[in-house]
Amino acid sequence: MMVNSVNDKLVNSYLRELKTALREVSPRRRREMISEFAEHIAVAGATLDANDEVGLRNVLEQLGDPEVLGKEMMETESISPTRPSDAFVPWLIFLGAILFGIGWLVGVVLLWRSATWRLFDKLLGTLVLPGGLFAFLLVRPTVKACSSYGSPGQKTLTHCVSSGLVVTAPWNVVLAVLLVGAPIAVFTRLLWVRNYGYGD
Amino acid sequence: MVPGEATQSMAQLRRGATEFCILALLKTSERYGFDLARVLSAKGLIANDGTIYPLLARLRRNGLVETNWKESTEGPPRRYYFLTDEGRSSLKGFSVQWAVFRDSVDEILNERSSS
Repeated sequence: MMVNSVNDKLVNSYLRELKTALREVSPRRRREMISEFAEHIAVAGATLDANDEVGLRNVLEQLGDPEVLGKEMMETESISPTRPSDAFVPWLIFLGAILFGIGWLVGVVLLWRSATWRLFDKLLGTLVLPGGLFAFLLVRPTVKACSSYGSPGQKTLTHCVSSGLVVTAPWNVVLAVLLVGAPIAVFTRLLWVRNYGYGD
Repeated sequence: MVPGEATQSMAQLRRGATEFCILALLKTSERYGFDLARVLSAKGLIANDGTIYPLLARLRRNGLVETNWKESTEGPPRRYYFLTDEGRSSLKGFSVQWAVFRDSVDEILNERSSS
């Protein structure tokens, strides 16, 4: 094993360059590649002396220029590269409509144009729920504000003001949980898929 | 076709064929990445050792090879690649097609040079 700090630095800087060269590959594939290369270097390094800097440089040179390997990887991978805008898509779909009106719409367009998500998740992102968290604010199922007046011994007066959609108590809760929970679940799933891919 | 395009086509051809060479190397015994890279590079099929890793990743994704980790007598544990049944039958199919392809290309190339 290489414990020499100069050699460690060489390896780290090589792997860092490779990581940069693979920036357009999905994060999951990138991690796989980096781990394969790190293993290759470790196996090749096992035959070297700990301080053999020249030997290590030869190993890295024989592995290839990270920039060139990154291009080869892109050509070998038939999958479309991830887009930089993918990072914003889950957020736009979740909060876009609240932050700025057409934000959700922008998110949906980017979602459908991206190759990162499959049809199922594109449908999920579009239909559950249109407007994201804004759907909850729009329906406002629980807004029935009641205030009570009166002191001990006196008859209590209750004054209720309701706005939005007023539904009966048990359904209030169910609806609220659905309207908040569903967008959160979809948001989490879209984020997960972007970061970790589909696992195949 | 400009020379650059010829080089690019050759690179693609080489890459495609190299995938099957990897399968062929795994036919008799499992091997680890470094070992595969050494053999292919000695034969001049790959210019850089690193080239095989995208190919291995794709073979694995397509279910033609699988991996398992094994302890090594020297150095860290190694990830060994081995052929799946699907990889074996894919290799068999390629061997037949390759023979026909190679003969046809040779024939046409020789025809052109003799005319």
